[in-house]
Amino acid sequence: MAAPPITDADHAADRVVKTREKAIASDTKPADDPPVETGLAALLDRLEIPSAHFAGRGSADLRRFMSRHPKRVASLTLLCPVVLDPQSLGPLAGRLLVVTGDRGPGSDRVRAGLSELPEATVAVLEDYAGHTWADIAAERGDSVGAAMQAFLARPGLPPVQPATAAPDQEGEIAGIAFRVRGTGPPLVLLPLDLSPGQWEPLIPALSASYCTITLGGALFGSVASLEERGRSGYMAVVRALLDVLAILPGESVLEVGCGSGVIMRELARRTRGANRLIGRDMSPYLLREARALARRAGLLDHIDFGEGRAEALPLPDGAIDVALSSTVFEEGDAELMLSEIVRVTRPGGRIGIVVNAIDMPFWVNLPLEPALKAKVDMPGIIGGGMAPKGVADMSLYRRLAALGLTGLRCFPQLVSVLPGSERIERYQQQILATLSPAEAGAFRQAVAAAERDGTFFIAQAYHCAVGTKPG
Amino acid sequence: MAKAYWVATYRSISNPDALAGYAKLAGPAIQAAGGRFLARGTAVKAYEAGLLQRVVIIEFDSVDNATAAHDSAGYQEALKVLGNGADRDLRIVEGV
Repeated sequence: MAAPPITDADHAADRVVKTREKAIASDTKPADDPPVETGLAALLDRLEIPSAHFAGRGSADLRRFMSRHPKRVASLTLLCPVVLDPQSLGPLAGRLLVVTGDRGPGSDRVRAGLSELPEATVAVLEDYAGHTWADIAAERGDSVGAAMQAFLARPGLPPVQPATAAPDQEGEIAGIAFRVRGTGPPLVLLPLDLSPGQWEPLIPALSASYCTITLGGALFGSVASLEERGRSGYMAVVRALLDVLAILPGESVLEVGCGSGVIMRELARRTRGANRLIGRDMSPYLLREARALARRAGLLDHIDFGEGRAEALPLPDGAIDVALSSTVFEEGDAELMLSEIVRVTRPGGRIGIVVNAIDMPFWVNLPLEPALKAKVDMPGIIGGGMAPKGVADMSLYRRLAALGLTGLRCFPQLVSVLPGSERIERYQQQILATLSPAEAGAFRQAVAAAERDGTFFIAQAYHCAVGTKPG
Repeated sequence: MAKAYWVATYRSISNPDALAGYAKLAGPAIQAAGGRFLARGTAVKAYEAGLLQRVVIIEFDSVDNATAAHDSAGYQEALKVLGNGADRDLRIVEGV
């Protein structure tokens, strides 16, 4: 007799209740971690650094730190930011270097932001998009390194005392993991979003002149964003996917592109050791964070995290009972990734895929006048786009059918992104970057009014599908 | 403060690959050091010496900034890549 599938419940009514319970019971933010600005200040104090140069992908992680400790930020370098926030960067503009690609949605928004920051310095990487998942330091490290060295040598930047911290030390302070290399003026390197190699290719050159301090941990950037999403309505999409996959005890489960491990931890909680859980990701940085987060949740014993590219999975044919992936197949060669996930699944096994739906507008819940509403609702205004061969549209369903999957179930879903989240802040900035000053004013007013009556949200769509590999 | 102009004129280019490698590093380094490219390309007319060759003109806020750009580790790295790939003349001049 087959064991019953691991689902929340067989009855739809029960499922609603249980899913709600789970939403509360599952991941919560560790209460003992201070906010990132407090942690950063504590870290600099511990290393006896009054002020430092900073560099990162975007400025969101530093926003409150910059406003609370303006003198501690001698300069800021942003590498291929997805968007610029002229308001918080204004006071720093004379000490700001923006290294940006010359194409893609990010560089368009950056150009818009720079028009409000005339004092900022800009270095352009030719023929480059710099997507959120790009390995910038590996792909354009030489150009980026040359730009940073030239910028930091510029007369007029505030003097920075050489760091007295011992080089080659690692540790964790206030929820922030750090590693110190080299000697000289301190240069604090924040995580570079989803970049697999992070800053590493640039460290030898930078630490020859600077005391580099690379930071990590769940308070920053992509990990913070992925973890926040893992505490949000997005988990309803994940739970719907897991319910349709109906995983049985004993079945092996593979997640392709597990990131910081949100879904793997959810699965570990559900299966409680009854299943082999395999999380693969191409990013050593995210895997390190995923292990740390799973260890913290007491779930690491149940999860096998390891390196693996979706386009060439390091697993034999037919090795897996259930394979899934969420918001990964946008970022590479979708045909290759889909054929790989089918290859490693056993005949009769199930495959579940979720991708961002960039062919559906985001629902920006504001009563705007029609012309502005149409502009705000245009697909592509919000979001990081996709790789040239990625999949982030309805073609997901057709592609899965073409691979011969049977019993295909297609269920696009909508998730509300709520005020107070990093994500809604980022989405608003992305919208504002496309608006004229007058339109931006009307937009901000509408947001303020909707926040007062509690009706402000931005909903985003995901394409979801589950099918069975023919036996 | 008077602006400064970085004027590079090329007499010959013996190794275009080295020049391309140089440009990949030098462009971002010069921009990051505060330089603004005003002109970059092959001369369209040449009088006197008559060299229809590459010319680059970059504006800086001051001679100090231009000199610092040239002496920065980033630009020096670019020069290493260029090596003997081009015969050229680089001058920094103060604006009037």
